[in-house]
Amino acid sequence: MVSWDIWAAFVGYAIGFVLAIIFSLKWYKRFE
Amino acid sequence: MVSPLTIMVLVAYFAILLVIGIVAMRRTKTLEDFYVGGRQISGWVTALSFFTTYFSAVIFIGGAGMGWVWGLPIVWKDVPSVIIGTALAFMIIGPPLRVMTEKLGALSVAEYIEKRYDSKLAGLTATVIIFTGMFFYTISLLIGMGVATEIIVGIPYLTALWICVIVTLIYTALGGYFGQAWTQAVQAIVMLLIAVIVAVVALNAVGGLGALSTKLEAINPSLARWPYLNFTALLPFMLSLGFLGWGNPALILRFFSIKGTRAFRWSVLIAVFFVAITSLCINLASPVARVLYPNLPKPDAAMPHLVKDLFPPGFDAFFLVGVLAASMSTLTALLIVMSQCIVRDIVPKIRTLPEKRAVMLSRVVMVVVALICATLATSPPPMLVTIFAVTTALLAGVLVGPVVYGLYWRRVTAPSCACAMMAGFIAVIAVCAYGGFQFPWTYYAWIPAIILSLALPPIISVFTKPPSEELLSKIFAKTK
Repeated sequence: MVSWDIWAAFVGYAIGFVLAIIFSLKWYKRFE
Repeated sequence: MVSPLTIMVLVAYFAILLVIGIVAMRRTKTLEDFYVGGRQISGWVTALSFFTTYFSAVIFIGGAGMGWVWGLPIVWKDVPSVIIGTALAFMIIGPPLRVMTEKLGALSVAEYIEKRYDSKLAGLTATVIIFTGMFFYTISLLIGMGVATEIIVGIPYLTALWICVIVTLIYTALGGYFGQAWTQAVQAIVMLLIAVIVAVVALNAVGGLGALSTKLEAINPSLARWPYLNFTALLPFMLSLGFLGWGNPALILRFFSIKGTRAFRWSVLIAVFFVAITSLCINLASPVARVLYPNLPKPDAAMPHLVKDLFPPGFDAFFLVGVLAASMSTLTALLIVMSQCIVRDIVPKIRTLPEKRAVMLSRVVMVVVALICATLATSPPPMLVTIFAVTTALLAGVLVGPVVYGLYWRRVTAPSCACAMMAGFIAVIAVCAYGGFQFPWTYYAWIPAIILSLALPPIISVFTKPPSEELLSKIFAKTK
């Protein structure tokens, strides 16, 4: 069974995607 | 003995790169074309270029070796530095850097610092640090590339080294940034595909992720869960939040070349997708090697062993192409930056060259520097790993503060930038010297340097003369 702390690292990968989605939906407009 | 299939695959791969280089040469007319692709590179090519510049053969060989040593906790290594760091680089540094470098007419990171702070000293300091950092990075990269090729298919180290250097030099010197970016886009797709295939087959061989965890735990519980083995070696990566990448001029140069701020919108998604999936795949595949080969004499051989044993004969040729793609794509980016340091940052201070001669000189300098690095890589200088670690820390410790504050804060002053650079430099050298230039001190040296680099400019700027309104209006003027 995979330990919880390893699953937590996978959440870290997901955070990268979340940041990228926030940027591409809204953040980039600040620089236009 | 190298198989005919390996030779055929390599020849086909090199031919594609050379054709791209020749096509790119026709687009390269000015120095701006040569160094930043005329600032006309599309968002998706920029994303793939960023990904391949970031990932060298280290991810397939040394990185996979770390996975063999640490087991599943290796998945933590790339989270702050690569995954979140990439997203934040595109969010915080990319768009303003693109806008400001165009206003300033800057084609290199050192030129951006010089013009942003209106300080020749700051520019020259950045040039020296960048060139030195890139020089030793290139030698380390070439050694890794030669060793990897020797391990995977048995091509002798020196043969592999010179073939790869010459092919990379031809398409980079001819095609400049266009050649670099387009070949990197092809190489990115190759790298991602190889990583995904290796991960799927490797996990399947041990019965999936849950079974892998159970088997690692049977060898040593620390290979599957907290507390981790040798955590001090993992910690610097987990603290970095991408700072080590932000201080890499070869990486942030990608942002100079993108064709506009709107192109960042999709670029960030593609970049994060490629870095996250590739690193996750390698980080999940490499612990499988620990289960299958618990007594491997050299951790770096983990991935080549997996490829040889789990795949049909001949796949190693494709794996080699993935490793070479990773190395050559980073090498081409480093060559461009080193050429910039000489031709864009130093030569104009001595004499002004016509555009065509400057482009020709850029090509000549690139060839000379690459040949010097390759010659040094044939008999590596002593303490190369230490020099590489120190120069990486220096790049981050010297550049991150001035680059970031220069983008966002009007009040930041040239003396504060100079002090931050000097303090970052002294901090890295002092920490390394205190630790006798040994691990783990060389790995931790960037941390106090980054803290000083970010803390000093706000304090010193308050007590020094503000930048002139003329300079600020030029830098921060709204563009239509």
